[in-house]
Amino acid sequence: MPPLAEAAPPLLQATALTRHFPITEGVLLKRRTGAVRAVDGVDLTVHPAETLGIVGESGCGKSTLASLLMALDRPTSGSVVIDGQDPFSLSSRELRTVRRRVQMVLQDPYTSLNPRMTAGQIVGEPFAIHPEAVRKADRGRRVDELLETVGLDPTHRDRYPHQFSGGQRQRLGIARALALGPRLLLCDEPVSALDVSVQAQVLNLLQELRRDLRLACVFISHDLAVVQHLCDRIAVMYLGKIVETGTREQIYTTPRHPYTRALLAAAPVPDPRRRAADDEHLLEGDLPSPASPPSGCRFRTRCPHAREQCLVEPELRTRDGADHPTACHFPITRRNA
Amino acid sequence: MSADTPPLLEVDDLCVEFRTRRGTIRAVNGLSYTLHEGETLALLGESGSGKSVAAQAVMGLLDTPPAHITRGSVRLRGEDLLSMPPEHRRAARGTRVSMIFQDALTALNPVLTVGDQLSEMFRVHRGEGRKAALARAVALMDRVRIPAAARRVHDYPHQFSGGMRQRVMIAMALALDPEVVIADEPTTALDVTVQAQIMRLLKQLQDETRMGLLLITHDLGVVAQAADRITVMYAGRTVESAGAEDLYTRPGHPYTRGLLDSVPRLDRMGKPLVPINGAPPLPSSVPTGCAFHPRCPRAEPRCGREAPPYHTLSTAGHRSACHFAEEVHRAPVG
Repeated sequence: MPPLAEAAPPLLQATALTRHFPITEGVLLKRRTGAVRAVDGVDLTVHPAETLGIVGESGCGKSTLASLLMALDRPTSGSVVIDGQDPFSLSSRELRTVRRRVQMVLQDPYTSLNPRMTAGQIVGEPFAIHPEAVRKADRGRRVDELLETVGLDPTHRDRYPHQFSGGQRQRLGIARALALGPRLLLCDEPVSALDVSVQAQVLNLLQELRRDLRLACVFISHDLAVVQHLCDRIAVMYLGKIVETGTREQIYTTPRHPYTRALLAAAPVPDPRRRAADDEHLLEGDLPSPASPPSGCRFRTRCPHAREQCLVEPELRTRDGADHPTACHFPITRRNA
Repeated sequence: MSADTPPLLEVDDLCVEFRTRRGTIRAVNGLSYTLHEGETLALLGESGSGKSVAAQAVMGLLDTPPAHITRGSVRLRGEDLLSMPPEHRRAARGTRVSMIFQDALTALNPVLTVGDQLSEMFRVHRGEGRKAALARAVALMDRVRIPAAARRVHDYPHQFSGGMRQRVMIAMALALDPEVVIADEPTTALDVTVQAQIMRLLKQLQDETRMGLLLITHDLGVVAQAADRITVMYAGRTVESAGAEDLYTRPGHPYTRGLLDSVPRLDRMGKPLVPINGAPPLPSSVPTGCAFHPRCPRAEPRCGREAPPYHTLSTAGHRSACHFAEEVHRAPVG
């Protein structure tokens, strides 16, 4: 991370962020019998112009985390600070101003665009909600600019979503997210619904935008290769908790958490000459339910190195000076790798 | 394999059309491949490439109308499946050729236990009694490494996790020891750690049974890790086929090359991606000539007019349908 970014105040900060969804029983007299611990004590910081990747498998809580970070959902406990302000203590009017600074790109460009609105209306809709952002007279021109920014032809502004391909629809979603000039873009699986040959177009676009507009990004994905391609720093999530964070080099070349290593080992490399010869790091079993996560370290039921000590929950902490914290009692080091 | 034994599965110039009121859609337009015993052949393609329709045509799962197989042959050990009487075809399905579907939750019957569904295979096809068939089901679940099979055989599909459900699907496909198993995106719905388990299981089962595995997928990573040979499909047609290493290191078609350049790779950190322009065509409006020409970086006017024939490239069994196949093949990768 450049020292300049370090000095600037964080754009987005989450502290001990937790979201539990109650499980109830009974129809009339609902009793609370448990909770799905979707997000359970997450700390993270995003500095201006920085890209943070959050990677994890289905059920790890990454999408719940996304809606908490965007203040779309209230945390059970913990806090979110967007650009120095706590969105949950603000009036709805103040919250609206804060929202201009953080915008979201959703996964599925087929369901996240209103089929009855034209491309121009979709991209211009944020101005209807935030009329102060751009003067009415300038809005048409601004929409054209936005379409051009994401590589769409402004003369297509009167077309409907179904007249665009999947990749073009995702560009529309990105243009809409950029309309209010945000400082941070949160992308939740932005390329998972796209064909391989189209994914690269959207990934390249996101990379250009982030560079040209000095955007900060939070990039959520199950795909380690995609996250690693775009992100400066990566946080690995497992069952509602962050188990390891580091730069992409650290995560890829010296993973410390056994789960990170297993994710890397399981990701199929598109090169037949590099077939995974050893099954050593492949995991057994499935993800436990977030409604009843294992006690202590949540990964211990699938961890090849689990020992008695793992019944005690490990803290996410830094060892030997490097900025590479991991939540494991027996992190992988060069010696025991 | 000696030259006179016919290959396990041979698909030649297969064409499938859907005739609807709004017009005719050619979903598969000249697909050919050969699958040998104990071999894994990948059918690689993006959405709309016709790869799943082609598999359903081989399985005999397409409804006519609207689907019509207009040309080509599908031969299983030399015997043409398409001209077989329907009752023979039905008998072959499951016993000689079987299929693993992508989404086990919709492919399995939700109101029957897994044991019912697995043992049905033995009762219907082998005429076994209820008890014997259930014992077979348990053995089968053991074989696909489902823990506590004897107890779980009485569970319903929704009680299994995604990975375990996919194992049930695999068990069902392997129940009657088929010679060919077609796996249509078998791991697409699964997490990457579970995907690795399923792909490892398929490999182990293949080593045990010598089955021919036709792996249908869009995932370049899965293909590279599992396939012996690869057939790349684009807009219903085979554009390239080669041995796995050959295809990844010396692709002979600009589409294959484009795919390889556009996928982010863990082992090439930060290397810029070179996308393919545009989007795959809809099966209802496939471009003339070479279907890839509007997206191809080296297309010339003739590519829009003439459909390229197959060129055989230097290495054995490497074919590419591109006017410039040799040049593409010679150009270095990376």
